[in-house]
Amino acid sequence: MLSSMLRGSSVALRTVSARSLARPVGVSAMMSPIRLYSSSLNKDEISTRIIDVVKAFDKTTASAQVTNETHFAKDLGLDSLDTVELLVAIEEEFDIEIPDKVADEIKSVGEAVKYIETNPEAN
Amino acid sequence: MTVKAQFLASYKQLLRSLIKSNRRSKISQINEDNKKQIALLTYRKINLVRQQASEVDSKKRLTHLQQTHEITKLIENLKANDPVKLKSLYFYDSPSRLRHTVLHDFPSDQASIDKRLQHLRDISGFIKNQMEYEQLVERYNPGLKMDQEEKVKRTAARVGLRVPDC
Repeated sequence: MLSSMLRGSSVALRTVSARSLARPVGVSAMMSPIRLYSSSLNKDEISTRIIDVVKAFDKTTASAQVTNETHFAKDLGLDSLDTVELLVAIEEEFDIEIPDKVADEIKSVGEAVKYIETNPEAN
Repeated sequence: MTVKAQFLASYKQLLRSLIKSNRRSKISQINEDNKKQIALLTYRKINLVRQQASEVDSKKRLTHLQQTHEITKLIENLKANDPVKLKSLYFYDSPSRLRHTVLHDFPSDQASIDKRLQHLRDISGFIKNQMEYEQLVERYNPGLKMDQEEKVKRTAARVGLRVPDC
């Protein structure tokens, strides 16, 4: 009886495997679910959005040439409070909250892009 | 943590809540304004079309036609104008005034500095919670912000009737 059960189960297994061979795509998708994020931000998109925000900031001195290398304090002439304002604006744009410790480290457009790229909640 | 870092953190919190609540109210305000403008322009357009129909002089007709085109363009522009995309709403209107208020005779001894910073955090907490409260009130009372037309429509739908389209 035990052996028949085993045989039965092996048959069942075989049919399953045959089916899985016939439709490998569906089964593999079920086996390892792919994590789908609602938005996929790529680096260029992030940087253009951040640059747009920086340009909208009326305190920036050289608003014409904002690039990834632009440093908030050196190139834009922002003081610490201005930088805070800019970072809050960037937070709002991507609908996130940057923790204070990380925010202290962000001093240029490139660094902001890098942080937002690693943040899964950004959109 | 130094005083400066503490101050920056509280300032940031305050700014965040201010911008969030400001942005929300401004977006709805701009939307309302746009709607009004569109209604006004549509009214003018209809008048122009009427005038054009009754006009005999072909030159005047042409100018009327041009004006109508311009108004149509304006209406389209207004319709395409989405305040959600406005980047300027991510910034506070008068940061210099806010800064002046916050930094005005900033105390020097630790106890009063702590008190001042706590005060800033309290303000930001109040603004944030007030905004959330308003959102909740709105969500639980959908009739509050509904205009008369929508109300009539829904009331009619409730008893199985439908308001005619025009």
